[in-house]
Amino acid sequence: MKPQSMTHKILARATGKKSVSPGEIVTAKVDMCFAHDPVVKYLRQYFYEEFGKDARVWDASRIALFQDHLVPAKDSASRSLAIAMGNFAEEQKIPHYYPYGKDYGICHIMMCEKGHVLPGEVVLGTDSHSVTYGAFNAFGTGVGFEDMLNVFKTGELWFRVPEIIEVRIEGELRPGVVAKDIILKVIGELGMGGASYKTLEFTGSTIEAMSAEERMTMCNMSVEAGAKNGIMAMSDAAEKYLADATDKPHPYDPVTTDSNFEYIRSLLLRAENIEPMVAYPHTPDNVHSISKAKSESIRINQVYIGSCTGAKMNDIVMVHDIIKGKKLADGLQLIVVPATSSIYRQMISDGISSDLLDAGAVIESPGCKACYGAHGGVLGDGENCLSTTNRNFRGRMGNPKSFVYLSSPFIAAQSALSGYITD
Amino acid sequence: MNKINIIEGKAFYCGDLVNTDVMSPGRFEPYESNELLASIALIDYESEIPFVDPATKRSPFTIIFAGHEFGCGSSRDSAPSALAYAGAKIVIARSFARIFYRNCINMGVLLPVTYDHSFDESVIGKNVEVNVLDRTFTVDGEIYSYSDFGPIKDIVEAGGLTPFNKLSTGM
Ligand code: SF4
Repeated sequence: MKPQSMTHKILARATGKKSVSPGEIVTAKVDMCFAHDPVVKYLRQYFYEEFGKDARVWDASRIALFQDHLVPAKDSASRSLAIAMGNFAEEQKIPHYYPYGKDYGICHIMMCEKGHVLPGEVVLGTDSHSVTYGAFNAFGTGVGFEDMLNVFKTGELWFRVPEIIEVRIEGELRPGVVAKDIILKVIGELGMGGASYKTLEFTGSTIEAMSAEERMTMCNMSVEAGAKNGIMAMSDAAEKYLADATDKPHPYDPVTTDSNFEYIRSLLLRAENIEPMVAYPHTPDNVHSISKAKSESIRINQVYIGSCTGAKMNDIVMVHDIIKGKKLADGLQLIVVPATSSIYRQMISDGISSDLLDAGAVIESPGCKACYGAHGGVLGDGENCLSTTNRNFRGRMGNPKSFVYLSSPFIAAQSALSGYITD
Repeated sequence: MNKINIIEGKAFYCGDLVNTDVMSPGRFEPYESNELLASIALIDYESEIPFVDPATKRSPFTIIFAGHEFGCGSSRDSAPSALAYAGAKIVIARSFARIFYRNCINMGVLLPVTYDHSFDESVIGKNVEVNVLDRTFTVDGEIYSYSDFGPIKDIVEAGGLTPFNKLSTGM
């Protein structure tokens, strides 16, 4: 048998085949999936319209529902999305339903925190950043509305088997350089379409030594290079995270890439050579080194710490370490939006919240918020934001006449103190 | 879409890397009606001639020629829907981003044709005729042919994933 990559092994397993080849179309069984508030109202409507008023989902225990994009409701239409989701959860007896309230947050971080992502499995979401789950050795990918409608009914979906690009990172990162810098650098090298329809498989000693949350940051942004999925072999840190995420995970079976597997391309980066990176407006592949950004004295009006990329506990700790006991630059606003309620709680119990508030930050309730520009941090015309999010397309944060720069939490925090992009 | 054999209309042009955020920006969420979606299609895409006519809130364009990675970014189905509700029926792109492509194929609202064309802004407003059955399109009297949808052509012909699944599984 031809050597297989870990992605191919997962797809083969889910298809009931011994092996699969790039380019082939397969129908894979889905282990876990989710949908979020922008789509569930319509999924519910079409589900009953298309499959009958008594239709049942294929397996309620393999579906999760999240309210993250439009909570708290900004208007009555947003509220109607949440209400419809509640109804669907009730009608279909969906146990993993996470409404705005005691225990909720951004879908991707919730999926990992709650142990819904397990190695070797196929995990889908109605959101492009479902590629995050490769951090736990799953085949995670984003799908559209119609796909999920059919997955809800049949539990399977067609896929084109991807070619695999290896991104190998070796060595030790310099102080102040983190996963976000590596992935920005990779996106800069590959370009936004550089991995289109393909897999980014991250390998090398830097990845092996990385924390679970930093692994999530890497995989999360692989879609910014167009990738179908990002994936990594399991590591001790990832195992530990999974063990904490759920007290009784069902047994799982991680996959590895065969040693003689042939990647269609390999990109090798030395960790020591990577500088902090900044993506300039209006594309995430428009990346420049911090030295260049510093030399241009780019003034910023807002720093945004949020999203499924940059508001995990470790991201907020990074910000806290820098901001603690200091004051923000005059006139600058710092908005911190923890990804989930459990992170929010930990910020309070660890005293992080009060330190951030003392420095002048505003802490908002968990959710997607300004990351995609619906609400909670929209900029004025001509204003600049430095953000720990993943996309800076024109208008992404709500105003097409504003400018969004992307960086690590570390650079974002330093810049919040100086008022200019700096390290 | 399988029932329409000839698509005729005016062409629009988009460059490379046109993302779903500019096609249907998140600030308009929740998208309350098809009319609203039609009116905001490509609203944040910078071009001299807007895709949607501000007066009619519809697009005078039926065929979009696009560059590489058309539809990159988010998974929102509102992006192809907005283009379709505004009046587009087909996108002929040098390449597509994968979720956008899936959405087009599986929703059956907009036909995504991958073709390495060499058109630019000058094609805007020209009359184009697409023969879906023969897989050809005609611009300025010249006929171009594109390849079929390969292993997923049954889904395209069924008009989307739901009708396809219903046909093939009888559900
Ligand atoms: S935080 Fe931003 S990128 Fe992540 S799921 Fe929400 S809107 Fe999408």
